[in-house]
Amino acid sequence: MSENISSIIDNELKGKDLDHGLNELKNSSALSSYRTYQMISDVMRNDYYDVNPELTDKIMSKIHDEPTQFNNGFIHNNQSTATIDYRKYLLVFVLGLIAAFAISWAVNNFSNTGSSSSNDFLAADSISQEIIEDHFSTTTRNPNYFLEAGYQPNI
Amino acid sequence: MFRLLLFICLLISGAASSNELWLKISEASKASHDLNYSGIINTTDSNQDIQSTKMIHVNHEGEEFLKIEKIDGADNLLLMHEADAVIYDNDQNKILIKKKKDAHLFPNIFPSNLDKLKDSYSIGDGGDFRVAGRATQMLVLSPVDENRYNYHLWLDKKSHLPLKMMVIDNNKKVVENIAFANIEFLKSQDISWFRPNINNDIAYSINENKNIEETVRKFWTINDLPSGFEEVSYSAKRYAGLNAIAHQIIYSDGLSYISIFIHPVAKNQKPQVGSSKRGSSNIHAEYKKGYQILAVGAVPMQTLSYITNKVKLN
Repeated sequence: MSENISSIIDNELKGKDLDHGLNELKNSSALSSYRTYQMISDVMRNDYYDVNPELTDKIMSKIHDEPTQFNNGFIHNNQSTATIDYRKYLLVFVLGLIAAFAISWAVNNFSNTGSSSSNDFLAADSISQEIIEDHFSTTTRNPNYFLEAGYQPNI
Repeated sequence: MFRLLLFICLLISGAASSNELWLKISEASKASHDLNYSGIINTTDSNQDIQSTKMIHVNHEGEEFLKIEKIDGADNLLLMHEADAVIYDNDQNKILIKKKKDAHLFPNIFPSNLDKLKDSYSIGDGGDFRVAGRATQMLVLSPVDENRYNYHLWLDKKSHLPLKMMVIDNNKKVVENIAFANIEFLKSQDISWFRPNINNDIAYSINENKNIEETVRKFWTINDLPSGFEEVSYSAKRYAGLNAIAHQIIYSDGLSYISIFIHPVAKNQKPQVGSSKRGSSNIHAEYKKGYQILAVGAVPMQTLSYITNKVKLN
């Protein structure tokens, strides 16, 4: 089966042979590997792998690790066996308490008291560009917006 | 008596006609997933700027493969297989990987549950038109209230595929316009085109996973949403510009989408209140208990204002 994957990626199979190979892949456990390899086939074909051997692995790893957004729910890790580290939540809880005290202190000591009337009027150029891009990239029907707004700079 | 019978007959014929039109929407939704097609898509925003993209979609034995390339501007490319989306940004030498379970890129614009649309929109026949050289029927989805806009859809008479879509606001101004400039229906399920345009001379960087994967406790409630809207997605991530984690909740009625962003306001930043506009979307901001509430969406401003008012921080 690995020969089939290799042949398809390397464009060695054509026409009916390609369809036949894809049909075989369809019923095999190797299909998921093929899907991700197909996306980066050019990287491999053009010997990019030799230049940056980690790129292929990175893309495959990222596709696997990227959380999927489900309807009516929170983000789920793709690993079904993900365990819960309760220490994290304890830490978050303690940090939350500290943050709550800090926020309370800040609210009491600064003129910014949460009253809407004392705040700036919203100007178009004062809105976070990151937020606008995230809205477009997650909701747009416009393929052009998706390509432009789909990329967020690394943080 | 005769008038009453006539009225009942008209009601029945009207309902039948409406059901037939909703059936066409169902056929259009199926066509966008099942058919193999390629073409040039032109998009026009509220500033009348036109952008073009080249797309090809193939359903290979029940699995969807999509490739979208920018024609104007940066040489960006999207490869999408089912929910896996990879964007190759040759302008910035970066690769973005995303999982988009419910991406609704034109012409695949419909929700999985089409009956949901009937709660928010009435349907009408807008007549026959020619789009991208093909005969189409225009359907008009009119909102049942003032919380959303009008959607005009031109469906190919032969294949049922949507060839054009216009979103028109309540002042009859075009907010969004997406249409095929040309389209070709493919007989082959060949997917050999499903490959990126990698430049060997460039060292690409891959995006880091910035979404926060741990389950986040909701510290807000948003009740009494506008009729028809329901939560369809949630995510949270750290924003460098804000120096804070922002939570994004997306609400939809099946066609209209509203993002609610909630994030703490840093000490050195001023919270914002009021309304604004960016492209096809309206924006409304409120400030509550140290948190910025920001609503963004291609819906009337009053809808955004209503929802932000309904955000309660626990």
